[in-house]
Amino acid sequence: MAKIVIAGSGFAGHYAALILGDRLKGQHEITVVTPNETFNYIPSLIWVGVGQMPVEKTQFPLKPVYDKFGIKYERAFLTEVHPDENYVIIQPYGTQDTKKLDYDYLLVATGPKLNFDATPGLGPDKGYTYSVCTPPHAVETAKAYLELVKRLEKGDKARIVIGTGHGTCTCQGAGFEFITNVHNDLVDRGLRDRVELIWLSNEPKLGDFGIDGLEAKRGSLIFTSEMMAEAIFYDYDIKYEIRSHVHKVDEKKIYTENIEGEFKEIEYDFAMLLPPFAGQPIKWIDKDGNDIKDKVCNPAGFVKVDAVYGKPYEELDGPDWPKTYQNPIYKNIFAAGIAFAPPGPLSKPSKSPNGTLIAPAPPRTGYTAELSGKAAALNIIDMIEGREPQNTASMAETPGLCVASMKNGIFDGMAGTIAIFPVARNRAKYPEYGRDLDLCVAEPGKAGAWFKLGLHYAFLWKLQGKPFWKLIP
Amino acid sequence: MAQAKFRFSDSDKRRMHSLIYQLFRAISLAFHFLKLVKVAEKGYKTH
Repeated sequence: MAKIVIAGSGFAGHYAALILGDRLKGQHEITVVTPNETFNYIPSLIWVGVGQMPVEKTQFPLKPVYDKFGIKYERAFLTEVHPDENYVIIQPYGTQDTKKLDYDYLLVATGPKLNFDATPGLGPDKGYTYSVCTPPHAVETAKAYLELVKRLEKGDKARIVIGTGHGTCTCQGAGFEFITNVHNDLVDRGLRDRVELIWLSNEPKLGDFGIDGLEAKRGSLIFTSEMMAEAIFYDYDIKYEIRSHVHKVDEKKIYTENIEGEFKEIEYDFAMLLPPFAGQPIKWIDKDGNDIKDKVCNPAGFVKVDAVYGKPYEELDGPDWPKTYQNPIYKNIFAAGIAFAPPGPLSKPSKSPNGTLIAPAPPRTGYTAELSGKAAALNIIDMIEGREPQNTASMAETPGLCVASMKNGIFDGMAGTIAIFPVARNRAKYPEYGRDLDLCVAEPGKAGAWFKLGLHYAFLWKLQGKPFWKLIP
Repeated sequence: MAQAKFRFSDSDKRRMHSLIYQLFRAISLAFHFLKLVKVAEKGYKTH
């Protein structure tokens, strides 16, 4: 009987656990280690953050699902990995105790550490800004936003700044969703004319979203995500500062530097700025007790897999992206979702004349995370059954499907439907754009709002392993 | 602070807000998404 340990219960880890539980139930031991009691459907937290959805609607308890699939559940943090001796040390949630867990196969899908410390004054815990990255953060954001709304109703005016809180942030799409939802919420409340809305981002161009933007065919023309974002910002009267790094935040101002090296101070009344991501603080220790984190992980702490690392941005191409998500040194270790180390950025990185790095990191969340989690799970099954890992889900061979909500609602909702193929430009296969433009879509409309709502319920149904869950992609 | 200049055309706006047009787009986009999901699953050899 093989022992499989999955660290993390997000899109990658939880979906991998369901696949392994479904295939291997009763034959092999599967354990999920996660500090979370619930699965959190992060894409809907933007609605929680504007007070339009109770947080409970984005969650379900993990234990009953794991019980159904014969999966052991350890509510704990993964603190150490001993890859030579095939065991991990975990710290049960809410205690200082430690526990040893042996494994034959390990899947690291811990998601990111939200690195608010990278920018002084950033984040709701030690700083002045808000976030929608976790359920508690989104609830706190909603509370602060609704308090601001009360002040606006009394006649106050305000400046709201939304975007990224560091030059190396990713997930700009979530910020874009939040600012457009805030705009529409304020319009519905009749308060929009009292607010100046500002988009502050590290993107090299509007609509870049950390994926180097996208182009889609529209008849004989090419429509880009930059055009889409710009037209929406024009309609919504959202001003913007892009190509910007945030140096620090205090209770009144955000201190930025742009790619031209200009330092600016932006006054604000309310700010939702996403943090940069880092790998989880996990120790990697060899059989002699030496720290081997720099061998197994990249400098940001993400686990290296079967990618080609070290190439400059200009030389990076589709074949360099990981396929099987297997660690090259320890073949029984896989990493998926945000936890795997990408070979480089998707968006063009830059430095200001002062040497400040402004380089959006590549997003690998949601559907992309699920695809990598599934590939890793199937490859673990391959190895258990004596085969080499054969299942691939390279970001240069798989699509990105994203629906960017601008307003929730059946009849008056609005969202941008975005499909890209492949996510990472693959110029070896598609020399002109690196992508198949016939398969790319960038289209705002009500249809997207219906998709976004449909995806919310479909994903929550699937990830609870409810009847016919396997039919939902 | 920059101000966006590119604008949707009036016909684009009408289409974005038209229930009937969006219903057809939703059906078309749903099939497109399913097509892409099939492409995504090509890499799973022992699926």
